[in-house]
Amino acid sequence: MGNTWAILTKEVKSYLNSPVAYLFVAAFLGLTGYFYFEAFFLRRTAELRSFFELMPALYAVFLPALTMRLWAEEKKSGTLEVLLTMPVRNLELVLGKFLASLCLLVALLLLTVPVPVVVASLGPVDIGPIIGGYLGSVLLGASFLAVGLFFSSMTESQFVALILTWAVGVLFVVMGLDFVTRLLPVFTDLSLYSRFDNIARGVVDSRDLVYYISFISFFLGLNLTTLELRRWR
Amino acid sequence: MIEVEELSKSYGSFVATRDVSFTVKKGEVVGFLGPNGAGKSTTMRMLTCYLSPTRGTARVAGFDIVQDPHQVKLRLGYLPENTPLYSDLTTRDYLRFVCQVRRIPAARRKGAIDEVVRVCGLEKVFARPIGKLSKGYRQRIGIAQALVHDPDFLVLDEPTSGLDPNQIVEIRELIRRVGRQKTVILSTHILPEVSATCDRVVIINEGRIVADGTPEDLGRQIAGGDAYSIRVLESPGDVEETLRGLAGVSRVEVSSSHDPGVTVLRILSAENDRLGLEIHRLAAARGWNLLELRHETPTLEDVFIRLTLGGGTA
Repeated sequence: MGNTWAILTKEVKSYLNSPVAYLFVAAFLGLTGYFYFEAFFLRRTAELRSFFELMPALYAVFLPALTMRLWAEEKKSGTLEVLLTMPVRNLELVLGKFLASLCLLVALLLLTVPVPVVVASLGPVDIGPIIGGYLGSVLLGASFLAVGLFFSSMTESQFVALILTWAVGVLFVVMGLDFVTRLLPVFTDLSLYSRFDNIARGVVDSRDLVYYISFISFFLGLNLTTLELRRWR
Repeated sequence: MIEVEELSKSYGSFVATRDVSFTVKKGEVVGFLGPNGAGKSTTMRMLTCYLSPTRGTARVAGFDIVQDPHQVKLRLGYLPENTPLYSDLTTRDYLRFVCQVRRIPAARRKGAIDEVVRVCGLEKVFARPIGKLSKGYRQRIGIAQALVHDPDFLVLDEPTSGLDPNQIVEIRELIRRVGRQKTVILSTHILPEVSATCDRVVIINEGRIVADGTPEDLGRQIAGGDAYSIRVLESPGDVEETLRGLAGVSRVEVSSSHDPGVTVLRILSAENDRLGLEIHRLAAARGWNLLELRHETPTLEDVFIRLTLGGGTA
């Protein structure tokens, strides 16, 4: 798995070397802070539930931008040819790229830690939902990243990858809406968001963990398949 | 050693290569020539395990490209066409990344990088992002990337494209130097490059191999034998008649000359490989005033044009 580490560090360096990543982080943090604190002083309670409730929508908008270039750019510039003629296993490539985007997500979440710290200084907070909120955020975010990475491997165009990932994000948002789950209750189990709500409430159920891990594995597996099939085209 | 056996690749009804077979021995530099779209890059992509052949196979150091791609990849260095590189990494980060993926032990990485940086002349751009570098430097980084793990086999797709004449000379030197211990296949459009760097030439046209041999051999085949040109200070009639009498001479042509009194003749021979010596002896015995005796080799351009425009095989 030494190669996974090599791919991971290379991708993280690429993120850090591009100005887009910093704009991305600034925009994400700015919007999170704005939406949360806009209503915070009206609520007059030290609670973070509404903070984590922002995550699904923000992820749906932002995270596809993190993954869109990971494969599409390699395909477009031809560097994929160099990469695939080196002694690297396809699984190592997929994992390296996925973990690199996950590192950025985790860094992003660490940068939001001042928010609960500030809130805790203003009044008593319940620590369980905060830990749950972060855990859920990582799992939900990782699911989005896996979807985005897969769509990036389908196309040479970052833009197409972005649009397709957005479309899937919207699909899952719709699946989690109240009126949809009332009409078709099966979606409650399938939706990324209802699971997220459970974990963010501080209730970590192993079924929810298994759901996220299966979801992520499924899309990483699809990604692996597109890589394997490419050679035979 | 690289052994290519009936390597064929088709995309639907389009045939990119058909029954391509050739071998490259250790220490040999083989030039892979052909017009655009002839199947050079496709063949190289199959050799480097980027594409799988539709039919046929190849072995690199005895490892099959279809059965054992991992073993093949470990032993190959590859520079794809157009030199794709990560423009947002610095030269240093990129070479480090390649070292990691190529499984060079951490202790030997610095030495390996220093070596290719020296060989490829990358000292000045070591800390700069690749995206900001000139085409010449990018090309050299591409070659450095292919060399850093000191592979036994090198596959270079148009290694000198986009370089200026000085850089071309440098890269040729480099290839010739590393080519002594390695097995190298390089493709190019630039024909003098082949004569300058390659021991052997494989010409491909419309997906098929149309010629395989040293540039001299191919020239001889095209010309239909050896050709000599002589200039004598004599009248044509007698000289022409005498030369026709030599064993193995198939044709004698008299060409016009600008100098008065000088006769220029072209003598063609299919089987006499010591014709030059015999012409010389004859001239001496007859007491001709011999101004020049020259062995004519058709240029690689002649060979290339004949084989790829006319169609047909040498």
